[in-house]
Formats: sequence, structure tokens, C-alpha cells
Amino acid sequence: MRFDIHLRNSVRQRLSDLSSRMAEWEVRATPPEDLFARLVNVIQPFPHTTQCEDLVIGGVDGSGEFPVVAYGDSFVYTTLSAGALYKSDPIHGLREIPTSFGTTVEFTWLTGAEQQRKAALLETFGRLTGHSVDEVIEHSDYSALRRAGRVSTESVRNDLIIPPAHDAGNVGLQLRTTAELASALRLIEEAPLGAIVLTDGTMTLPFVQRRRQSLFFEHLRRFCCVRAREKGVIFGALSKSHGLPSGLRIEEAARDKLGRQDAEHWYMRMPDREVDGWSPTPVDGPRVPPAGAITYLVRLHRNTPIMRLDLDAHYWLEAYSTPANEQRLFQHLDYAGHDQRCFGYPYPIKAAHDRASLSTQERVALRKQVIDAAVGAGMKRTLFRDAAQATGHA
Amino acid sequence: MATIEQIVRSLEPRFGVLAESSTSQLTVVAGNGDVAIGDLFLLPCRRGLRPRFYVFRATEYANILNRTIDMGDVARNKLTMPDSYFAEDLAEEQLVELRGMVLGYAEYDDSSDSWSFNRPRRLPQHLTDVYRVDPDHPESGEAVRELLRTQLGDRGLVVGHLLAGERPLMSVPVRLPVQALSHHIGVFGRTGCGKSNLIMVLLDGVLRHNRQIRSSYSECKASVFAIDPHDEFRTWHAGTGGADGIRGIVASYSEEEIANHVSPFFYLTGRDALDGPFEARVRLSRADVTPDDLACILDFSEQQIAFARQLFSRYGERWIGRLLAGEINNDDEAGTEFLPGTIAAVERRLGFMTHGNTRLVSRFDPDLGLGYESILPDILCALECGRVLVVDTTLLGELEQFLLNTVVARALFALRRALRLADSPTPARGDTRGLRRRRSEWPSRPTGSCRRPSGASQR
Repeated sequence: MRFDIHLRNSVRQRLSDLSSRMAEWEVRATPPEDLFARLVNVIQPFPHTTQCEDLVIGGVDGSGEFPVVAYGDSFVYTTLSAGALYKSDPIHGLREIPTSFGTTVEFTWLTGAEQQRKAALLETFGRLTGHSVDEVIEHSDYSALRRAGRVSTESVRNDLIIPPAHDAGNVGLQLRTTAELASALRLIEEAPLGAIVLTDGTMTLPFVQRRRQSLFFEHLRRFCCVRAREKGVIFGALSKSHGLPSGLRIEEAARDKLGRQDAEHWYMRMPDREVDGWSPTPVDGPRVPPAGAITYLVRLHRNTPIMRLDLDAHYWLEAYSTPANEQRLFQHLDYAGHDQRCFGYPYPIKAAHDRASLSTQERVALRKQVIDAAVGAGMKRTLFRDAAQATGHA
Repeated sequence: MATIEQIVRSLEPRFGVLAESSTSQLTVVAGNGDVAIGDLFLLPCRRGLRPRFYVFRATEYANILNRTIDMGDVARNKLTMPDSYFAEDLAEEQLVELRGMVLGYAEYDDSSDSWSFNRPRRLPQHLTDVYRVDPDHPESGEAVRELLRTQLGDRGLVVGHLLAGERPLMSVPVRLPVQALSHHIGVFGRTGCGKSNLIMVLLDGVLRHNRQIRSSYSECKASVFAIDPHDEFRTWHAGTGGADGIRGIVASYSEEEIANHVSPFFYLTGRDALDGPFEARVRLSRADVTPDDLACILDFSEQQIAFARQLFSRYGERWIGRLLAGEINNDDEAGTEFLPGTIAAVERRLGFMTHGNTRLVSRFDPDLGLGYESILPDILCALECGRVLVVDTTLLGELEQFLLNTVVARALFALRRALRLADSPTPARGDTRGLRRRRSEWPSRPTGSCRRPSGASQR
């Protein structure tokens, strides 16, 4: 960017217009008073929890380099994911429980050839999950949520969205989410009855409204829900941001409800327009809760933002939706969020994040490692010349 | 000789891994543990043709976290967030980073089947495993001794044991070649850092050395003339219930050992009251002092030193007595005439040796019946025979201490020079040992300054 762009009058005028529209939107999104009163009504406090017995809680996170190497029409993607399981402990707060798997590292090679690309991606999904793609599709309840009638597994598999090899954004999203959910699935399989397993994010199913196309991780997400139900494990997705219109004044409602300026330790279940008859979100706004899930907003600590917790609606409504159980769940989350490294956020997710994240140096080293291996296998090093760097774009 | 693999096995488990490294500093990342500045580490390495072990001492430790978390944030959370905790992970999250200096490296020599120690001119390879030398494990001490054998030596004075952190490796004695005592050695440090202790260990080492070589005669005996301004080496910590000093060591000797290594004394003092056997009153005679001795410890102008030398050439050993008695006559013989101011200035400088002002220097004038009263010949003979002499100088002034040092050193070096110049050193050496016998040629009055216990061998 040229150094004087931000000084130009035209640019400043455009920014001024944009911010005016943003401010107007805030006013427009402000809920009427009766809606505000309803929000105040659904907010529930829970106590600061410093003692906890028999809590087992796990967290997963993923990352990767998308792509780590690109040459010709081919791309190599690296995916990492990690999961960690902890038990409450009177001395350490949480003590890690050993699991049979460590950090998952997966390399995926995609080319411009459609058949190769699809086969490679599905093979990666299979390796990550430890199940074949067909198994996941068959045992997932995703199709039931679509209400699209009986569709064969083969048909669903054929209609899975496989992005082009160069579409790093979408390929990366699919690989990373699949890897995260695969780690969650492994944790669910090993976690004891009543344990909590959390992923970073939401339980959104982006293509659930479509008749045919779907993403593999949507099936996998619901497969995790199915396995968690069968195992008696609470499976949820915790997002650090709630993604709701900022004009809802939720924090203000919490302050009203709790009578404190620094309102913390509260939660509210997001009303569902279909179930509860009302919702604070606009009709054309984000669908919260997503299909097959229920959504809570929760504030664990005043220094951390309001977070969003999505849970499998099926399991929760049938087995766990009593106020006492809601209180217990959020007390457990509060307890798990008292680690000094990430106060106000459940530590197991943070621990998984730390294990799966890649530093800049690690990304560079990984790239060199992949290229060295390829050269060792007989490929020319010049193939992997970084075009952006060679042309002064990096 | 142990191989690199055998030594590594004796050092296990691994302590950490080498991170950044340069010839001036190594950084090691290690698991969380109780560590101390000064800990000793070994880094096995195969960079180069021969196996090597780098020896490295920690000079700095820091607590770090495994991930890129700001320790300040964690500490703030711990301080300000009630009931927070630090979860225990299976993978070590709390680590220790240490920095330190490479002391050198031991390299295995196939031809001699031994390890030779070298200066730190090379670096270990990347990410080398690091092993800590644990004083509780004798095997690790043995490994260090083998690797440092060429550096620490197996003969000479034991001056202590190699320190690994806060504790010594009892199987790794550190030795000083006896010849090193004739070189300049400086011991410097802050109060309480162990300077006196090192000297005490050195004195003890000399005594042990002299006892050991008695049977083999394979090496020279060593001598130390220790000026002790705090009078601490004789009894060391015995007064407060601790270890005894030279007195205690000597008390454990047999009669024969005392005759060979202690007699006639090990302790000289300015006090008249002597507390035990083999102690003596320290005393020099004016006859022992030359103008050059005084020029070493005092400021003299050229005229003043010339005047002193003229007196010395004219009156010999009586020169100080004549000057201090005021019996100097410029005109009595041919010679340079000196200004009264010069004469007075030299008189003032020698004032600390006037009768009544000194506990060290005795008068000497055979014409007046003042014989030679000095322990210098005994000191020289003792030092020639291999002795440790501790001199308590608490009652001596600064100038007296300097004079004692200077006279003893000058006389000793003059003897040594004479020995080297002699055509046949052996008879000459016999002459120096007979120095004390010539003492009887001087008229002397009995001093009783050297008390001997009954049964001790007589000279």
C-alpha cells in the first residue's frame, strides 16, 4: 500500500460513510424494550466455582498450513489437531489424563485432476477420523436433520463438496474442521460417562438446508453427537465470540439482572423461534441455535468476552436440560476456566490449541522439510520456487 | 577406558537439550527441576572424527513455559484471580532454561585409549542431549574424573574437589602442581566467598603432599610461608566447635612425622605467650635487614638510599643500630657527605625499628653484648625442608609484616640463586641446611622463644 493512501480525501470520505452506516445499523439492531426485558428474564447466574469433584473435561483444537507447498497445479496441505483430557484435582486444579493418541499430523496432496483430488481428500478424512467416509455418513444423524428423505450413502458421498486444489480457504476449512472433530471423536471414545468434550467453534451445519450437497465435517460433527449420546458424554462447541448483533445489549441485560457493573458468572439459553416462539436475532440474521443444537451464551469471567456454547439438542433436551444440570454444566466450565494461563476460558481447549498451533518458524521448517523430502524422492528443487518471493510479492 | 556410550549410560537420565549455542555461551532447555548455579553438565557429541564430551557449567537459570505464554500474564493471573490454579499436563509445561560457559571438551584418543581435555575452541552439534553431573551418583563423578584426568592431574597438591552446583564431587580431586606454588597465585573474591577456606585447603594439601611423598621421594616437598593477619589458620573453626586448623592436623602426626614435617615449628607469632608445642616467637634481628629490604617497603629518595647503603657498607650488620643510636659522623672517614636532612629522613623511616617500637626486630650490637636474636635461619631451614609456617601477625604493624615478608623472601631467593650458581649444588645445599649451625657463631642470649614439647626431636 502506498504510504499516502490513508491521507487521501476520497479514502477518508469513504471511511466516514462506512462508519455512519455501521452506527446506523447499531441503532436499527437495538431491540425494543419488551425484548430487552425478555433477555433480562432468561439470564441466569451461577456461582463462582472453586471446588469440583469428579469432573472430566476435554478440549480439542486444530491448525495447519494451507497449503504448505504449492507447485504447478498441485498443493500440499498440512493439518494438525490435538486433544487433551483432564480430571479435576484438589492440588493442581486439573490434572491431565493420558489418552491413546497424541497430536495428529496429516499431509494431503491435491492436484488439478478432479478424481485425484476427491480421492485424496476422502482418504485424508478417513485417516483423520479412523473411520471410512461411508461409515461416518451412515452413522451420522445429519441426514435426519436435513429431512430430505432416504438418500443412499453413495449418493451423499458423491455429493460431498470437494473444493478445487487451489481453493486454500475452503480446503483448509474442511481439513482443519475435520481434524478437530476427529480428535473430538477420539476423546469421546475414551472419555468416561458424564465427561465433557469441547471443540473450539460452533455446531453450525452450513449446508443442512440444501437438498443434496453437504460438507464431510457436517456429517462428522453429527457423528460425534451420535457417539457422545451413546457414550453418555456431553459434546459441545465453545466459541469465543457469540456472533450475534452487537445492538442486542446482552451485557447491559446481564448487568440489569445481576445488579452489578462487572457482571460475570451468568448464562442464558438462546431462545429458538420455533421452540420458544421468539428470538432476539432478526429473522434474516444468523440462525442461532443451528440445526440440531441448542445454544447458550455464557460469561465466565469479566475479563473474557461473552462466549457461545452449542450443544447437541437431542441429547441435551432429553437428558440434561433441567435447571440444576444447566447450573452444574456452567459451574464445571467455570471451574475449568480457572487456569492461570487462560483465566476465564476452559483450559483443555487452550492446552489443545497450544499443542496443535504452529509458529511462523515451524511453518517455514515444515515447508523446507516437505520440499527436501520431495527432492530426496527425485523431484527438482526448482519446482518449488516460491513465485511470490521471486517476483517481489512476498 | 570407558567409551562415550558407557559414560552416557552412567549419566542417564537426560537432563535437557542444547538450544542456542556459541563458543561463549550455551543455552539449554530442560525439564522442571531443582537446579543451582554452578551445576556441571556433560554433552556427548560426535561432531568431528572423534567422540567428545563438552563440559559446561551453568551460570544462569530461568523458569520458562513450554508454549509461548507470557510468564508475566500467568503471574498476574495467579496474583489477582482468586482460586486460580496451574493445571498439570502430561507433557512438561514448566521448563527451565539455563545458560552457561563451556569449560572445554574431552576428546577420545584411539591411539592412547584415553580422554584428553582441550580448551573450548569447538562447539557441540545442534540439539545435543545434555546430562547433569549429579554429586549423589558416584558414577557421574567417575565419568567426570576420567574425562578431566589430563586437566586435573593425578599428582601434586590437592586443593579441593570439583564443585558440581552446591556440592563437591568427592571422587574428583583437583590438584595443583607443586611447581605452581613458586609462581604468582592470586585469590580474589568478595567477603564470604571462600578465599580463606581455599588457603586453608591449600595448606592442608601441602601438609598431605609432604606426608605422601615421604615414602617415595618421587617429588619435591613443598613449603608455604603463610602470613596470617587474622590468626585463623592455626585453630581454624575449633573455637566455635568446627574443624581444627594446622594445630589439629599436626596433633594427629606421629613423632616421626612431626620430626620430618613439622619440627621445629609450624606457627610463629608476635605474642610472647605461646599456647602449644611447635610454636615460636617470631623475631628478626637488625642484622637481617639490608637497605634494599627497606627500600622495598618504604619510599626512599636516591640520596636517602645512597646514604643507607653507605652506612651498610661501613658498619655492616650494625648499620641500623649505629644510625638509630645517633653515632653517625659524616667526617670520620672518607665518603660522600650527606645533608643533615637526608640523615634525619632515613632515621625517621627506620623509626619503626627502634627499641620499644617493634615486636619483630631485635637490637644487634655484639660490642654492647646484644647478640643475634633472630628466627630467620630457622625459618629458612624449615622452608628448605618442606614446611608449612603460619605467621600470626596480629601484633605486628604493617611495616613489620612487610619487612618480615621481604627479608624472608630476599634471603630465600639469595640462597636459591647461590644454589643455582654453585658448581656442585649438593654440597651447597648442605651448607644452607647448616645455616642454623652458624647461628651459634654469633654471641647470643637464650631467648626461649621456641618452645618444644618434651619428647620432640631436637635439632
